Amino acid sequence: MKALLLLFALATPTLGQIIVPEENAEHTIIPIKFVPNIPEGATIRGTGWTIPLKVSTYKVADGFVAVAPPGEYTVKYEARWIHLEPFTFIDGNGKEITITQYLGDGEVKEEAIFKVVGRQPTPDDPVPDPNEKVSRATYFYEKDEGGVPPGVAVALNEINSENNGIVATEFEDDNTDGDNEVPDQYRVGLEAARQNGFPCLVVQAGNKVIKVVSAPTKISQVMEAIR
Amino acid sequence: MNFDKLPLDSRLIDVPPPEESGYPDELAKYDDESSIREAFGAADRDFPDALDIPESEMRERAAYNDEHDLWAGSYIDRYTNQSPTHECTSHALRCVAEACWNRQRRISLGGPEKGKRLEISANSASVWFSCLSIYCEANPREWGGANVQQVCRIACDRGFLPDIVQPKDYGFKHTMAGTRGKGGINQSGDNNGGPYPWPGWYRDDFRDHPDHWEDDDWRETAKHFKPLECVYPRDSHQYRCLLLHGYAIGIGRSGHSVPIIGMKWDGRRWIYPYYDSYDRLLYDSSAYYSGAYSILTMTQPDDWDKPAGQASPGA
Repeated sequence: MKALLLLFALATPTLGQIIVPEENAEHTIIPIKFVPNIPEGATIRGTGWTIPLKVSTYKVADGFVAVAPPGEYTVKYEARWIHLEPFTFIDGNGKEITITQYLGDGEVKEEAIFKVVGRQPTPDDPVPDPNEKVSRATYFYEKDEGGVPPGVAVALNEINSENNGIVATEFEDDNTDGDNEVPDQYRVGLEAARQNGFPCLVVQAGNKVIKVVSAPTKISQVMEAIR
Repeated sequence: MNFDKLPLDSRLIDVPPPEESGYPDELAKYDDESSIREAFGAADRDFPDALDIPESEMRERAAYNDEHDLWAGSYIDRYTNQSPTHECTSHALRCVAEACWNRQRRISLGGPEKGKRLEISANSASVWFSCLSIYCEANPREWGGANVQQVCRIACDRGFLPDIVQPKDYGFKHTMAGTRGKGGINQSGDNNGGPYPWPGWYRDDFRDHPDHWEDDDWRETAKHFKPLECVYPRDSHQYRCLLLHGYAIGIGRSGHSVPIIGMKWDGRRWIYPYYDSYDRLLYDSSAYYSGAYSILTMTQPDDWDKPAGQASPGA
């Protein structure tokens, strides 16, 4: 037998607020902090985040980090939640009964406005080459000088989980393929890395090296490099 | 894998194998630092000092690994089941190697679930190695087990063959049953396509080549799945450093061999989780071992979709 047990008559008030710096310089990483006040285990329905198209984000534990071209932006979070939990007890006849207990529900509606200050693009600005789509990001390192920094590892994992056509991997200087040669996929990148010096992140579009970042350690450095 | 959030059941700590698993004392006694490092051959490396993490920083690093899925255990997507064979050292080795392979590709798989094929496995570069392809050379008599140095020597010398069962069709020319034991949904064995015949080992070759091989040149496939750099952890501090950097450690101790894939602080000490080769997650209460190794790097392919080179025609 299942029944709904009413424990709270009123929805729990929501206290979480989106915190973002009001004004940000161009090319800076903007922290958007927000932890909705929703109990762990609650079912969440609704729109979730609404983020303008021009704003690129990367999820972190307490919200996002974002980059955006100059302009004013509004980010919103909207959701409804209900918190139910199974509860089992033994009745007077010794029978085990599980009911669903209601622990609360609520609505979260938050928004914040921020600005990115900088020069507006003009028609004379160079147009990005559409063929230069990032296809590969490799962290080249020599383990005797250190492992893969945790922040870099997290970023590579995250890029791969986004499944957006970028192959994000790591390559130790002594790595080879089964024929004891540099694997084809790393040839171009490794050459760039050796010229730059280890460790570094090499970002490629096909066989073209777009960017080399020396000794990155943070998630944001990797994410910024591939954008 | 967030070990900090996993509830700890004391019944899962220091659990002996359910049966003779294949790391008897008479073989374990030969496992020591010098013999295991000699077995690594050209892959032998000193523990890199640059990987040192002070003990005082370990809990913070472990919390970061928990939060961001950076443990070796997160780069594993299957359990294996060796029962009732004596293949434990080979099952531990395949886990350490697969964790290295997937870590190099940097696709976090989230850890295995018993009896389940993870969706992400087919969308990653995960390759499942055949434990049997190592074990039958280590012990051609099949029963009686093998020690750590034997299986490490074979893997470093010529590599693994892939399991017949794979998360996706890579078109391998040469595959081998994963185990002569039960296996499971993600490992060929008695419960998945078997029972398979014992391939044996005779004069530096498998005695019986499986019928499905395209040709007999199986070493051309195995060479693509070979450890390149291995480390012997000299003490429990190096052991923890390797784990915190996301490397798995294969160990032999107390009659059984297992792959340690992370660390968990229980409030007063570190305990060490491992994927046991009986479809389960268990813990060691100390960093005790008679034989141990970590694989820092493995071969990487020219193309992750063709991990053994060019796929077979029509594959």
